[in-house]
Amino acid sequence: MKSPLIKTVTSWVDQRTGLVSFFTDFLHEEIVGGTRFSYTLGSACMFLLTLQIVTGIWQLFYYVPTIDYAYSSLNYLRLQVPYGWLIHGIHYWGGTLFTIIVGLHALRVFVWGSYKKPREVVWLVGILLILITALFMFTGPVLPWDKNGYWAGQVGIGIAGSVPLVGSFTQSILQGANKMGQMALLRMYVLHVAILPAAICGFVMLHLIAFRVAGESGPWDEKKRKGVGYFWPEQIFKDVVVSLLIFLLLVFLSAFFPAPFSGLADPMDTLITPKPAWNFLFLYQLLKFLPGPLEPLGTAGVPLMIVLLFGSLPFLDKSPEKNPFKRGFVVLTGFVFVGVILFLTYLGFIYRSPAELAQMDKPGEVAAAVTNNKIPMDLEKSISLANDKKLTGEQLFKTLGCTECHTTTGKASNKQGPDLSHEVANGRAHQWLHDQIVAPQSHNQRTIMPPYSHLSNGNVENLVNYIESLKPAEAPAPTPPPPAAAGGAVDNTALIKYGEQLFNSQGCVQCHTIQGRPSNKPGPDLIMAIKKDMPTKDWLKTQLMTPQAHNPLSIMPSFATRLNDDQMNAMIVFLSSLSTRSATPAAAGEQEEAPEDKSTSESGPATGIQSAGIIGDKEHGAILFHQSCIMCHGPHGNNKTSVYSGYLTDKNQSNGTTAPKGVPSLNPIDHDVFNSDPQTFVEIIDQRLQHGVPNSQGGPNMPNFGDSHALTQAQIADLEAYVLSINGVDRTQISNPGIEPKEFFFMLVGILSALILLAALFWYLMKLIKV
Amino acid sequence: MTNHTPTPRSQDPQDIEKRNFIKGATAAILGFITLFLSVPFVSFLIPSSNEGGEEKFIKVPNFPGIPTEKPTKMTFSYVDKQAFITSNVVYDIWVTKHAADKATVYSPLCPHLNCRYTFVENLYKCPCHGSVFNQDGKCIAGPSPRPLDTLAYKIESGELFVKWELFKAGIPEKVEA
Repeated sequence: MKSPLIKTVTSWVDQRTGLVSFFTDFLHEEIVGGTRFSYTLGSACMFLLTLQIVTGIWQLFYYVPTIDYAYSSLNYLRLQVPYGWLIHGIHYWGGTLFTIIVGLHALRVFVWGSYKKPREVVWLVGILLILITALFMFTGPVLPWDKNGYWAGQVGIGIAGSVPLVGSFTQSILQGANKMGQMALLRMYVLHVAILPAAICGFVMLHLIAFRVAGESGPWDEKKRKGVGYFWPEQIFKDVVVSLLIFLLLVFLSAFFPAPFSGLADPMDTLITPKPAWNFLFLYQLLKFLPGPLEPLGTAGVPLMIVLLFGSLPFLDKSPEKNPFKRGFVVLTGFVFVGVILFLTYLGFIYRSPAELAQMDKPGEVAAAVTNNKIPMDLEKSISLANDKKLTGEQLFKTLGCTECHTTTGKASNKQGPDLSHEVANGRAHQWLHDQIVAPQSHNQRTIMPPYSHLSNGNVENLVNYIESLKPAEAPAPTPPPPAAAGGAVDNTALIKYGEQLFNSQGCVQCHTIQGRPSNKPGPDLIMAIKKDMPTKDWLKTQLMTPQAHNPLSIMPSFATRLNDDQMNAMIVFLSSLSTRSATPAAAGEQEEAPEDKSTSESGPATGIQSAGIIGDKEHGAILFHQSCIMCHGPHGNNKTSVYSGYLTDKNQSNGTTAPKGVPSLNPIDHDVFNSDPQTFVEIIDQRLQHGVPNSQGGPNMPNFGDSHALTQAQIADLEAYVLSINGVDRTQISNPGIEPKEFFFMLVGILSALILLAALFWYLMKLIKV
Repeated sequence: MTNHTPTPRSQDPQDIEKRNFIKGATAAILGFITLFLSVPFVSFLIPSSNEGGEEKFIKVPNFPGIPTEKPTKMTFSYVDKQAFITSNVVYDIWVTKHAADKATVYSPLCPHLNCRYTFVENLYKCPCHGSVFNQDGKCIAGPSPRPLDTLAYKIESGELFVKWELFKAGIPEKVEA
């Protein structure tokens, strides 16, 4: 039937390459006992592999493998590039499906006994392919550089690092640096897009060649081995039908269950329980059962044993018998093995760390978290729990969220509240501390500290006693020597310098900043305050000696006994000199105060990442909201909270609110702030989270979470996603889908059904005509 | 490959018809998948029309300070946003100031093949293929198919604002690239 021209061309090509006869041979393979749907698993893997390669290459058109841009480039691809959702979705779900189908493929070969002579090499290469798949599934999820991927990578590399003998070498090769960062991302990237694809293509080829040379195994039952089927077209048709179903499933999953947006990777975030991807959960769970010296058994021993056992299977199980019912021991062992893996995966899946349990709103689990010194999300519950239980002051301090704002190390920090180890030295009376805990607004109306008015009296006493017992962990910074008086008269610049040294060493920095911008510290920024009021030297002296003389409610401690006359003089000269000092540039302003800044900047402004451009994780944002925002905005941003009923509430605010004066509701948010466009909306609230907002009604100011590095940019992005979500705006809305995901799926199914109907109709009509 | 004589296939007309149907169905399914993937895969690569932001006039600093009737190379920069990356882009242009509110602004690229030309001996000369232009932009020697490309500008309260554009090289017409 073929035209002579085609014949001439094909024979010309065949004589020179042998390709035509190669493919003819390949297609005309005979299948012992006929074609079957159970033989389609291998070709399903091939179909998925092809899709993975194509969608993987296509994603490279947008993906950038740097820690600054990996996450935002991928989100751009998913939300703003036409059909990015589909191409990413197919790749994301395709990997998962590939792992499952490769597993089923291996299981079928195992049950059918197809690994036996002469197919040992097919089996061995298959094991190698499974290992390569595992490496794909390990390196892939790291690439988005989101929270899930970062922590999965961190845990995975950690596991590799704990392998005896070769561990630290492997870890350094995988990580490329002494911690997870840009080098690790690049290495995962190169493995995932270059080395592993080359390896898998080569070994798939070998797998197929060995398979065709050894021939297929066929049914174990002699009766079923009669007759032959053909690879083309009968078996290929079955393969293609299965591929079509897989394709439909992938589009369905991509449209209805898109990959999560877990927020930018944030090494500073301690609330996350690092967990590997689902396919490594069994190993992760196994490690939990093998603590301490047994750990190498889990990281190296067991996996190595599994691989060796499966590798030697064709050489141990040498009987030619293939019927699984006559190979009871081997088959049963295999099923027990699969069962154990599935069970461990299930255990790993349901495992929650105490911190996570605490966030899950279950009273019993909150209690567990309290005893584990983790911060519970529901303060109301943890207060009532604390009241039921007898907890020490230290336990209370750690479980009631105090550590969110206060340190006890004696050093200045970037937290909102002052360090508490100097309270006694600062002359705080026992009753003063008591009042500060129960009703902080009675001391300072602008404070953002929530009133712990629901805490039982005994517990408040315990806390006060604990705070009174605190001593700085380190000796206070040595008081610098006064400048040497040259010729009797001390140079003014030297005096200012000495004053500034005292300012930094005497604890002033715990409550005040000298940056020229508002801060989240309890005291005013002194450049701003002194420029505004231009106080006299006498006024400054009184403020330092007896602050309450100026303001009876001031919480500032007296420095009368802590500075000698020379020091007092230098301090006053230094403070007066601030009237001519200009503001320090943002970001650099707090470097000295916050020793953690180095790691913060990894995801902070220093790298050019700004929270407004990052798509945060709204669920993680909800947790952060409960830690940093509910004291003013209420548990759901709606200003309605009973926990902090000690607040001096604003009577003018709409009924039912117990929020501090002048604090706006976030749920619903003000009309002039709201915007239905996620990006615009985020940019507006981002300003407030970054730089803070002064409260015009005498209530607490909105802290400058970004400028002060109290929150990382990744955390601010998460909070923003949460605030948007409680106002009905989805940060992950696809702005340029091509065709809407769900519509695309229904269209696909619709057209397919129509085509099948049409084909059936055609078939029927042809029959009618023939009759 | 196994070396045995292949079993001949059934030549029963019904079997042949069935085989042909299966072949057709296989091709149809593969075609269906390919079609449904090819549209997204191609659309994925087409840049969105609003990419790169709108064209606008950008201020060129220091215009009041340059001498009149003397071609001067000037640079200006603006923040360019492309996809998920914002970057600072610096452009250079040749400006001849005629009066405080009148100027000629040339793109720095030779219309022949987009080389950067220079101004020597009162002429614009391109080093790549020897195109030479006079101060009015007219090509007086070399292969350039058209005069130097002028850029749109406006002068507001003494300051120069220029709209940066690229033009197709190598053709006699001045067309946006």
